[in-house]
Amino acid sequence: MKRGILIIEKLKIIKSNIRLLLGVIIISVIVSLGLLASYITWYQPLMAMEGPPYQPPSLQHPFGTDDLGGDIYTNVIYGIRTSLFVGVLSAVIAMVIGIMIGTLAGYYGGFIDDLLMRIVDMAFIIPQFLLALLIATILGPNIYNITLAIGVTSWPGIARMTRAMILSIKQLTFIEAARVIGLSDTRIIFSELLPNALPPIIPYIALQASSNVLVEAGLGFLGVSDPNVPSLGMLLNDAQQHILMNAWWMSLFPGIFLSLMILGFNLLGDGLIEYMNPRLRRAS
Amino acid sequence: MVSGFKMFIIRRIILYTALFFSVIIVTFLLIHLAPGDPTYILAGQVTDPEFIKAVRHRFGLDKPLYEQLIIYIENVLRGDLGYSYFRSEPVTKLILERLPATFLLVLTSMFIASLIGVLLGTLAAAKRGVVDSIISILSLLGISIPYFWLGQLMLIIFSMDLGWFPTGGMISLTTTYTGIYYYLDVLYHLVLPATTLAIFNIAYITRVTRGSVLETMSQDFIITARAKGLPERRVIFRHALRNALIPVVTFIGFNTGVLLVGAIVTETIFAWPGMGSLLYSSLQLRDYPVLLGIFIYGALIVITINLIVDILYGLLDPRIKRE
Amino acid sequence: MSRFLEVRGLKKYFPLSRGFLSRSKIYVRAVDNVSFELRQGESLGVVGESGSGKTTLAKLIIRLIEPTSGATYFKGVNIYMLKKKDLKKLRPKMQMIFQDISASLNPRKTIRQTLEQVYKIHTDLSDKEILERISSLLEEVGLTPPHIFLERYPHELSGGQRQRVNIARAIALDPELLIADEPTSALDASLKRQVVELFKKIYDDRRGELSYIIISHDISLIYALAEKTLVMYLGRVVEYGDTKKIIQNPKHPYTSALMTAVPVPDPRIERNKKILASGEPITSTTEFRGCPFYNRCPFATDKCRREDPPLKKLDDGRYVACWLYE
Repeated sequence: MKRGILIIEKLKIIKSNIRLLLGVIIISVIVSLGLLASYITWYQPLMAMEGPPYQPPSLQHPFGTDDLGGDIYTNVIYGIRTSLFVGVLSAVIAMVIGIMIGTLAGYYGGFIDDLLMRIVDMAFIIPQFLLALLIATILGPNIYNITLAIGVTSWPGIARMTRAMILSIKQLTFIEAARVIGLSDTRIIFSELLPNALPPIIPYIALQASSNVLVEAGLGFLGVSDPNVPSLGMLLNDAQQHILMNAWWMSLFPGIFLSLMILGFNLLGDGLIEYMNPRLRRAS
Repeated sequence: MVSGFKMFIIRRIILYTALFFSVIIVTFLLIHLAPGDPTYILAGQVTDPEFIKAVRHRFGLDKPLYEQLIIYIENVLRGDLGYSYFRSEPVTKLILERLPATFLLVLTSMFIASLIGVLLGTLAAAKRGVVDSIISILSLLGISIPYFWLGQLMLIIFSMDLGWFPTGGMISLTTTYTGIYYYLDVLYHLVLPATTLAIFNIAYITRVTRGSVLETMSQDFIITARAKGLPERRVIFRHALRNALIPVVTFIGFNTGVLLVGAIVTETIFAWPGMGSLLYSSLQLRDYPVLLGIFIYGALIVITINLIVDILYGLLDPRIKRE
Repeated sequence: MSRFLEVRGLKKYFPLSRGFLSRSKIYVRAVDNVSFELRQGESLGVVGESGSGKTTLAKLIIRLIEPTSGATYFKGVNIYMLKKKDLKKLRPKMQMIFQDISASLNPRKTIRQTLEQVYKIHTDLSDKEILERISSLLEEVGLTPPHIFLERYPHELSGGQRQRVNIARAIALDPELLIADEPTSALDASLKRQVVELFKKIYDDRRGELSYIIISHDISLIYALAEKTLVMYLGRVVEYGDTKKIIQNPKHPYTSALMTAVPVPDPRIERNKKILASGEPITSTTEFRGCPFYNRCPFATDKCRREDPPLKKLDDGRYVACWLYE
């Protein structure tokens, strides 16, 4: 009986937070599309001559065909998978790097803090997209390199945020109390500091994912993408190369799904941040 | 004793110079940590042995690593970023040629975006209610929609289907205009790319302005002004805006780096003859020296802009001077 | 025979401006040359306004922060010389209760988890044994019946209850030195009395084994709990000695000012009204060489501005740092 009431309470909270709701819905749909890719498509991705080239949308090819006769619908669905993979994984990489650096800087302070923050300043100012482009090009355009390149260039914001959180929690007396009790530094960081500092930062994985999906698409748009892996950016690049053929479907559909994905992550992130805040207020 | 403010500027300049040096070092590391022979990175994927020999000599690739670093730094500072084999021009010259076009695009977009963004953001914060919701939703859409896709769509709709605007380039290819008609022609070609870039930034600036104005309006001095019975909301705006705009201006300044990158990508859609097109063709040709050069110049531009914004912010905020 | 607690020449200076490019030679003297002794079982009060360095002193004695110079001997061992693992072994013996009652507890841990932690770090007891210990701890501090408090979170308890948890945590491993920093400042009058009673009870239960250092700006608290008192001003000790004597007959001008400012429920004290101090305290930096109270002291002379008076022992066993008593 009590449990039922608790669940209803939680649902009510989600209902009042439209962003979170929409975000969850959109991302769930997108993820399902990605996971069910092989079940909902009937052609192979990246294949040529599944049909005549430059065909507008039809029953056979709901999103039309591209310059080589490949089915765009198939490529879009598989491309969603790629964007999800690269976007989320690179966001996780960025989070890990950012949280580590932010925690070290925030907890130890002093010289380490100065040094690390200078590095963060530098990483912040370097145009992320250009650096990722350079790294991906130099390492070779395959999907893992691209994920790595994006992950390794998007951590500065997280680092700053983590450091700020750590600094504000560090001052709280229970950390000092833990030290007086005799907890070692590592124990304090993992058992006292992080469990309090990290929850507000978790929603930013979603926002980071949204930004990284955009970067991945941008790279693909410029031609920096894994030729063996379908990607939405690559599709837009194709559209651009053959723009004079006036095949608007080559541009429209990949773009819509790309936008949906970015929008979904944005909503999810914003919603989570909103969701976490009143809870924090209740706890204090 | 040097005045506090001058000290502030000097410290900032030192900081940003150090940042620039770090960029050069990072680039150098990239060149050498890359798989394969750094020579090909510095020369591009060429097979001409004479050219390769010249590159090895110029960058001292036979010498120990730290000497190479010094040579590289010296070269960069002198403006020597290498030579593009494919285009038979020094990299620096190639980039500098393209810079004005990119700047034109960036500055125009920034101008439009700032104006409209600040307007919309202030409107949303002031009126609240339905207007606010609409603007907020629109700006959320604006930052979620990839700008290059938007540009593509605009190209398709406004240029190819409706024929209102040219499909690309900076000037017409068929007729040559002179005098004022030249500038009008450029302007005509500028509309689509600038709008594409601007929309993305309008969304961001709107959000930032809205947030800033909301926060300022909740502060005490505004409530006091209202309590005094000041007539129109407009008068209050004059009070509130002056404070609210400071973070917005700094945001715009710092965002110019992002705008620069956006311009580079947007150029490829509209064949705008700036750094973007150079980047795109170099990617296809694997013309690494140009890519590296664009990276360094890009970073340099962003650093310079950040430095200027920092100093301007120091001018605006009286608290900084005391340092 | 080694003394229980001996603080000698303890100093903590903070540099005035930080940053990569600035090298400042000016320091703020947060704690300046503090020396005193404490016997086992004795209780010491530390009085002063905010900014006097009391909290910094406490943190130094516990070695939460490192001193700029000086030594703290706990049972003959200089704690600043200890390595990390030896210090860890020492921790159960020296405990502290902090000023901010609410922030002293991890908001995400239940009371049980917070208290368990202490035993888990320093002992090998089983979970069951730990639970027994925790329950009796809670009973000792007056949180009965213990089982309703165990699974609660800090935000579910009142301020007074939280303070009791803090105290419980501090005495869990039977410390020999307990430092309490403003233990009652955030509490209202009735709660204050209860906490004072609790302190007295704990002190009596462990008579002879537990020493207190109570830091407060509340003279009545010091009067109730401390045998000896240290009066601090801007990092320096200005007066030190028997609590009753200091309160009834303050020697240092600053101490007089303190006593007159606070009403104490003892008519003998209220009768000796002395002159107040005026003005704002200076920032005690390494640039200034005189007595830190100089600018507010009604008896200040030119010598006070130029030279810092040392701590001198008087006939009645008290120590005062003032040129008036040369």
